[in-house]
Amino acid sequence: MSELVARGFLRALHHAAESMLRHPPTHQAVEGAVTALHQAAEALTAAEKEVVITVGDEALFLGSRLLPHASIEFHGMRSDLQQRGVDSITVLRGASRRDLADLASVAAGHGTDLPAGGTVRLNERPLTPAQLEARPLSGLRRTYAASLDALRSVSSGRRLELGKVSGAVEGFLRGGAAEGGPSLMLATLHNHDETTFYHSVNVCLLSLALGRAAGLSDDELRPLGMGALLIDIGRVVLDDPALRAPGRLSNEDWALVRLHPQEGALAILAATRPGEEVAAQIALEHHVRFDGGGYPDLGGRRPHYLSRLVAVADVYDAVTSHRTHRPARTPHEALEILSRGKGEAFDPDVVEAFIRMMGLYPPGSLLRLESGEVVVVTAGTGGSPRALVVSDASGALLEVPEPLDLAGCRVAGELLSDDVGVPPASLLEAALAASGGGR
Amino acid sequence: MDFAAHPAALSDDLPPAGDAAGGEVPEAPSLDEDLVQRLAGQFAQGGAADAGATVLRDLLRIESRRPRVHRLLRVWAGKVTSAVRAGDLARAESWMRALVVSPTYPAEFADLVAEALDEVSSPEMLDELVVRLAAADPPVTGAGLVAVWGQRLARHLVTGMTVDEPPVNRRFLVEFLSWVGREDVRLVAAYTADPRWFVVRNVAIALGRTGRAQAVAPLESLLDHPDHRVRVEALRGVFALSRGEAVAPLVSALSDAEPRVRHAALSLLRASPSREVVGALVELLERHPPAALEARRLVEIIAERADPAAPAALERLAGRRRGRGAARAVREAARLALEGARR
Repeated sequence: MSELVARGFLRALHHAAESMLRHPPTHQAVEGAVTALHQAAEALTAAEKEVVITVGDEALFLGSRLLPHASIEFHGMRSDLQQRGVDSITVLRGASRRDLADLASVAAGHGTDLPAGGTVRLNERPLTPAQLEARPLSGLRRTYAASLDALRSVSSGRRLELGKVSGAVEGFLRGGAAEGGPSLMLATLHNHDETTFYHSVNVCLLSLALGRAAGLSDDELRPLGMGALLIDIGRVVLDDPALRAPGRLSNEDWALVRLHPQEGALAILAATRPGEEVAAQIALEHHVRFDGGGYPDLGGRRPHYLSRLVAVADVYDAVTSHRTHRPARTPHEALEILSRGKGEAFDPDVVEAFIRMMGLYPPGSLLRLESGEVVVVTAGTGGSPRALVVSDASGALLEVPEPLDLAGCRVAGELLSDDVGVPPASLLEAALAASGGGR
Repeated sequence: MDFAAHPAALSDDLPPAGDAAGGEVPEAPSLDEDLVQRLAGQFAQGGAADAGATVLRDLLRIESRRPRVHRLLRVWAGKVTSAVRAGDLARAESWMRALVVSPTYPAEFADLVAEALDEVSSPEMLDELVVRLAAADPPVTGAGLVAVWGQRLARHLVTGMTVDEPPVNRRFLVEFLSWVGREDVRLVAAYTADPRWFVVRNVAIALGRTGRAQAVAPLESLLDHPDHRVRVEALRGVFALSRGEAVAPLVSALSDAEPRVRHAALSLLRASPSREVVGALVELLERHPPAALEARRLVEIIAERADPAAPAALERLAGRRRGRGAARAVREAARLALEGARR
């Protein structure tokens, strides 16, 4: 079973729990969320009589198999479940709607246990740490999760704690995020429900790598990372439901969106300690073009150098991620857009540095080779590009991705992760293992 | 397209998306030294130090929502007070300048700005400020901050001069008041009308230390102040600001009814580098000679000067035939000086 199906179930569980926290049990939204959870459970158990999801100390597992992607995505729910004493969730085929609703109630903190002998059971199949997949969750991935939490805390608490943000940036630097490679793979993570948060963390990762490539020291990278992580915090502050609605924005909503840089800058300015204020400037200027255009109107002033770095990373991630009003584009297409904007929208030197850092096929790119195999590029800068083969020539997904040196390989086409069903970022640990790294 | 043939030109000649596939996977080109150097040069010009001030000014320029401006100014006030409390006077100055120098906020928010300035100018905060200023090393570290703080601080400093136990020695208050005057003399000159002589004396001292030519006029207005202690400081102030070239007020002060004013004028004339001193003193001695003792001192001043006009002036004074009292004292002093010069 692929991680995607397990993630689908966990996402539905998360939604149902959130819905129960916001609405009374009989509310239509809760009913709908439980229905979705029921459908996800059917998909989860379509090929198995029962499926066990293990709640580990740092990660989620499908049985004993690590779910790296889901471990980030549902970091908060995993932590909550663990605090409530849940070690494992067993879902039987044909799980009842009532039992699933009870499970969501436990996840929401409204209940503590499920009836024994039901179709969904708690702690029936706990695994010891020794039985779980030994592959450690990457430090970068853990920091990614902590970064998301830092941003979520703003959303839930309405208060920006820069200590968490600077801690996350520090974690990224310690984890080698600025050195590119694996961190660029991780920067392909996206989540439709938390687009803003994932986008912000990705921009942070890309900016740190770009800043390092441009020769910045750690001391210079710290405020860059903070600013990048907080570029869209203004959207969180605004928190207008209209901005989250699917489809194109109305003129009124668009006007609201255009306020997010100044909203963010104000929130950051209020929270910064001396020396960190450039993070506010980055948030204010990340939509100001190199030629002084864009928004907000700063009188034609060219944005700060660090803002220009972040602007490039911002557009790259935005273009390569799926949005409600348009599909994702390939990394190559994103580089092409950046290249076209050199000198007008973007600082030409920064774009050149970014493209050189990413390479023609940036880490995380999904390529179909002329041999028919599908690979995920894992490293692009310096030396021969490497990849992991995720499906063979017949199109069958490999249980364990295989390392491949791309030198001499011919590319038949670029793919999107939705086409393949394999999120490139989920292969981070495998890529690290293949390269002999352990970050 | 065969990308392997063009990796180095990747950014200049990025192949169209539709053509991206179909070639060998190239090695990713690394950043060349020239590019890294250009980027490093840009960063060096970036100026992250004043980022906070830049953001504040930008937000004040573009923000049209009153509650947001209010919040921004609350944030600003917090920055200023925390910087002062931390003794970081340069940072406090940067924040203060960002708001009040060449202001970017629209006139409709002037009341909010005034409110924020009042907030950071509470008596407790300003007491803390002057304590920090007095402890600064070197002391002039805070001059810029004081100068830009302006009217509210000037008022607090003057008030501090009148209380029994000011937070720091009064000489600091006078010094800080002079720093306010360096930015805007009018803020200090406004207190020359204070009814308390000791306040006006301190104000005169402060005006004299501003180094600003605009301070001369208010000081001159104090030359006939009822209190002689004020007149003395006004005289010194005018002298300092004119770099000793303002001879007329000194000569005029030689006729002051108060001996301490006349004494101050004598001392200042002695120190004056002006070439007008000899002529002005000769004219005074010939037309309105002061008392004998002072007349002799004035002649001594002429005799001490390296001015080539001095010997002729002494000859002229020594050659006067008539006169008694002071006139006679002048004549004798001049002759004595000439004899001393010949020896």
